[in-house]
Amino acid sequence: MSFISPITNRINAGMKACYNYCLKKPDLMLSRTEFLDKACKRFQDPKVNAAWIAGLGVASVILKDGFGCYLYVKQSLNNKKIPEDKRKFVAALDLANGGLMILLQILLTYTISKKAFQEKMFNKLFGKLFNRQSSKSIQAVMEQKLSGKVKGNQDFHRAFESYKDASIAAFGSLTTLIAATTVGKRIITPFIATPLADKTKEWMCRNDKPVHIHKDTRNTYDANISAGEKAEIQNNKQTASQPVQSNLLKQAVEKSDTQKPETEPQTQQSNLLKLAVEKSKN
Amino acid sequence: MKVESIKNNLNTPGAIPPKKKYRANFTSSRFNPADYISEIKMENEIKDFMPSAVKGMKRLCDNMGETQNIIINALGTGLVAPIFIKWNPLSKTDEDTRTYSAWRQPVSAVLAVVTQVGVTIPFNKMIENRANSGFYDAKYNKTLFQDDKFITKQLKQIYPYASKKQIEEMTKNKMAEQYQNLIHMIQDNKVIMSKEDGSPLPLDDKKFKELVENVIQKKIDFENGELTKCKEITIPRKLKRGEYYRTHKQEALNIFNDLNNKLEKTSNPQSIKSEVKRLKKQYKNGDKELIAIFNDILGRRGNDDAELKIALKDKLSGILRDIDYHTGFSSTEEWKKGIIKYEIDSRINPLNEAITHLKEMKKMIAENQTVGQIEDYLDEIVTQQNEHRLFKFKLSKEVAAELQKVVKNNLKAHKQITGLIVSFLMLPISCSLLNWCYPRFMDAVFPNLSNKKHPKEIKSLVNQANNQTEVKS
Repeated sequence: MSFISPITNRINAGMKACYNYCLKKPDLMLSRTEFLDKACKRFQDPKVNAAWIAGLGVASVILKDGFGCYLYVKQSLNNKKIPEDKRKFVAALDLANGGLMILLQILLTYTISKKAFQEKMFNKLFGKLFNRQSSKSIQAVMEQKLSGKVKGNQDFHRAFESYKDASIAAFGSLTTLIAATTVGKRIITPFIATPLADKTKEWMCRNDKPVHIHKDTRNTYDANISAGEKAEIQNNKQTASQPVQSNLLKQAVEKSDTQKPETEPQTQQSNLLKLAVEKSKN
Repeated sequence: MKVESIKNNLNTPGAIPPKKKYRANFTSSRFNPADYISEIKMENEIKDFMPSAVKGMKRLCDNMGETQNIIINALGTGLVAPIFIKWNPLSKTDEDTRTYSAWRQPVSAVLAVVTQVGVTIPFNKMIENRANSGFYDAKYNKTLFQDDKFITKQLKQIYPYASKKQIEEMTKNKMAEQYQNLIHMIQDNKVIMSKEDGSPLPLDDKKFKELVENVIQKKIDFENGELTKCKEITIPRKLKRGEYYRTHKQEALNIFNDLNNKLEKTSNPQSIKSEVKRLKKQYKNGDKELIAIFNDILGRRGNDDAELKIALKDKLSGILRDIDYHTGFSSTEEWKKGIIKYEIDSRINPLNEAITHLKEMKKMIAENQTVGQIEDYLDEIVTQQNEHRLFKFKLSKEVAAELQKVVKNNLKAHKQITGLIVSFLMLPISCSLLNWCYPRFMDAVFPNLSNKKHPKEIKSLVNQANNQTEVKS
């Protein structure tokens, strides 16, 4: 065991150094940058700096999703494992999806995901529960229940406001989750992106030679019949339609095929066939 | 992590209060730690009055962490998006290609969960842990108010055989101790955090002063807001309503006395609301102020009949009291003067007085006086007056809350920027991973859609070839 410990020690030291230089130091350096200092100041008052924070979000979406979209499209186009006839559509869908996603997220930042917008929506739906009369009702009931001074108590107003703020925040994250993340990103975007991908694919193929669709991948998918069964049926159909020939005749045809030059195959083949038939008769 | 270093993190020199020149009197009549609890208690009580829709929404969001968010997002990507790709009526591309492309979404969703849960969440946790252990500078340092989860984790490592309940109790005590230490430090104007190795990390004096000034300024702004609200909203509204009561005394008395009597007798307060709705229709061409009063009554609410009755009774008795008060003056001029004087005495003067004291406190902090001394100054002013606007204003407590908020917001900014960088760096990896997994997944699960032939298909082709060779031979 003793000879293993120096190795494990070295591995540990190496991992520690790697952790220090790859994660710890860059993180500390980042925390001391001027940009982060500026960001921290802006984040101190999110209401006043809402535009700056929204801008940061939009910039990050454009950078991140833009770069992601580029990578996905590039890798899809060069991915030899994806069938050639489907590759461009996959890439086109990636491009359309990525582009639309960026646009949609920018739009959402300034609409549904905007705090002022969420507050307005919340007030329309639940405003009655947090207005003056509602607050007074709660104060009256609480005063009887807690048998203490609640009316005009600053603590009550603080607690009421804080509950309202927390409810708005909860409403905001739920609407963002439902409207933006689910409906916007997962329903509207793919719904528009798919037909848009048709156009994008056409544009991608504008200079291409006619695409050869692989015979094995052209509409082979059938939910009811498996591919093997389908092939069997096709095979049976072919054999049923072919005229019955004797082995000799087939051999003669094959022989003649190998002996004759490739030019004018049809006429030569028909002549040979005639000869073979005559021979077989004799 | 070694036990010693963990102990270091929990019992840092910074966390021990420095030798005190001044120590706050925790048993003073004004400071009561229960004040903090009372606000929480109020919030809990308020929660009971909310309908289940609001409560449920809040509970859902409170319990929803980052992981749940990622999972919901992935479910959307994996289950919803493919439907709109495969069965898209607007697309002209053949169904095979669309099906093939649609399957990219679930594969990418699974990979997103793997990369996000595996990288993004641990990164955020790492930042939080570093902030709790004192790795960063003072701006992101949480050593004076560590998270309960962090303390629990550390305690579990120090006391591995302690029961869950014991750990919970110890965590609670540790947090209370940290809070008390923080209050002492603030009162001494010496906030000393600690670094990861346990060495002290004092908060810059200038920054501390800025923090305290900021807290006082916020309070001044709040009081100024109240003053404006009183002058521009409360007084005009009172005068308007009072004028109605004075000019329509008999009508108001008849309506509201009648409603009050009916409320006393009924066990179904909803019937009073129906009655008010009927009256609102009846008096729709009457005084606008009367309609406003009806709307106020209709705005009253309760979770059950008993609560609604209390809320309505409170409103109706308030109206009757107001009628009595406003009509008690002999002349209009006297009434107006009386109302304004009452508002000045009960609201405007206390607000102005509070603002003056707050400004004085700001001056004191600029003159290098400690927060403890400022609290003493305030104590002398408010001890005799339980109704003083600053009676519950505890500067050290407010500064502690502000410091926690500042660090929290700084960490939020740090996490956002780090998250952006991490996800940017992760993109080539997750993208390559998808491009590697996706065609292989399709080959394995949907060979009909990819070039890869299904085993059955291969078998049939082999049989076909064998047949042909048989024929040839």
